[in-house]
Amino acid sequence: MSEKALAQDDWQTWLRANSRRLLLCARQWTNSYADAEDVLQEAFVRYWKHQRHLEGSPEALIITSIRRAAIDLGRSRARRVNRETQSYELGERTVSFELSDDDEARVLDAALQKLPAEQREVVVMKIWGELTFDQIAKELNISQNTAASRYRYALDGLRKHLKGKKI
Amino acid sequence: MNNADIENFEEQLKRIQLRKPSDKFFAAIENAMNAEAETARENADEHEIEEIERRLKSLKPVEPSEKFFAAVAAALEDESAGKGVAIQFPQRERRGLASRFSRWISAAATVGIGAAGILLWQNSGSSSLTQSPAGTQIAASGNAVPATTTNRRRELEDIVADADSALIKSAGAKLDDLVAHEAEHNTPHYELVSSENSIYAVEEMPIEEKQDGSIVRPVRYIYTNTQRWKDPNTQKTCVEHRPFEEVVPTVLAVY
Repeated sequence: MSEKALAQDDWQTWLRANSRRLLLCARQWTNSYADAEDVLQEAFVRYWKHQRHLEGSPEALIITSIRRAAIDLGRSRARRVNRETQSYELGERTVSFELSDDDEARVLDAALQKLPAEQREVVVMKIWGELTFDQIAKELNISQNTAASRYRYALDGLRKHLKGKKI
Repeated sequence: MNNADIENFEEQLKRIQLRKPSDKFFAAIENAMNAEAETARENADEHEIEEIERRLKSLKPVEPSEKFFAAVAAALEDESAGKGVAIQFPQRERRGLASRFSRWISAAATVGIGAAGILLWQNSGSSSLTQSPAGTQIAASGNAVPATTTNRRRELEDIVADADSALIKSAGAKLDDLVAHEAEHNTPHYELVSSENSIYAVEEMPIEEKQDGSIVRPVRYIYTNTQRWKDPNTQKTCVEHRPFEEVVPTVLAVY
């Protein structure tokens, strides 16, 4: 995060630089990229207008707002979402990353999608959310050890999956 | 020492039987080698996991749409945004009752004050409107004795009340026109911007054979249609979610 960008009130610069990974985080808790953009918009606007003076990492604050907004959105629809059907959305992008013709990257993306949701969200928050295990644990209301374990299991699962694909 | 002595010494050395190491010794060697192999495996796993972390970090997430950045820009300019739930519905501007109908309130107050003044003036006896009704006696001082002042007072009050009533009715009609005018010009006019479907459940049903011989597998989709509407005049947006459920027959190829 660039303090200088925030100090200059240049929200566009900061958002352009960080929106990709924040959108990926938002996608873990929503059912579509449209919903992910909505909750990211709400979270960022709230942060920019009311939370910039708060101490702490902007990413952590925004990701907290993203997750709460996503939960509110899900509750407002009064519908139980089957996580296994997230990929069945009509017209929805099925890949989360900009992939070239690199088979290795596609296999990695596919392997990431196959992870259990609770492991995948920890991986996304750690790698692209750039949060510490302590921040992740507080956000998900789990212990730090549990967060680290889920992360470890996730990477181990990816490793075994890639080995099976001989990549 | 001569050669004979050396050869003799070598012969004696050969006769010495070296003690065979115990099984415990071989077990310790084996354990040490296994531990070393395990450590090497763990190091290799750790290295592979670090490699996977590196490759994950090299993946570039997709960028939000330009519509997203435009929506953020609009929301940052909107004072009411950023305080509540994820989806914002437009709020009509509300003005206080006093400021809205101030003209009419001040007019009614003026009428009331004027009516009170008239009453006071009549009671003071100096008004030319005062007439000496029948039965009024003129005192020696020249002042009329107000034998029927109460009746006259009532007559004047009725006149003022009638005048007030007419004015109030007129004011009420004006208020109705004003409310209708504001309702017509401040009602938002939304236009459909986008319509998207988000499927929440997919259920595959048993395969069926239709009368025409085709083989189909009905699939039940439960989804939500999300429509986004926008008022081009006020730039306000609203989102409508509608649940749907439909069964779609998927034709299967038969070989």
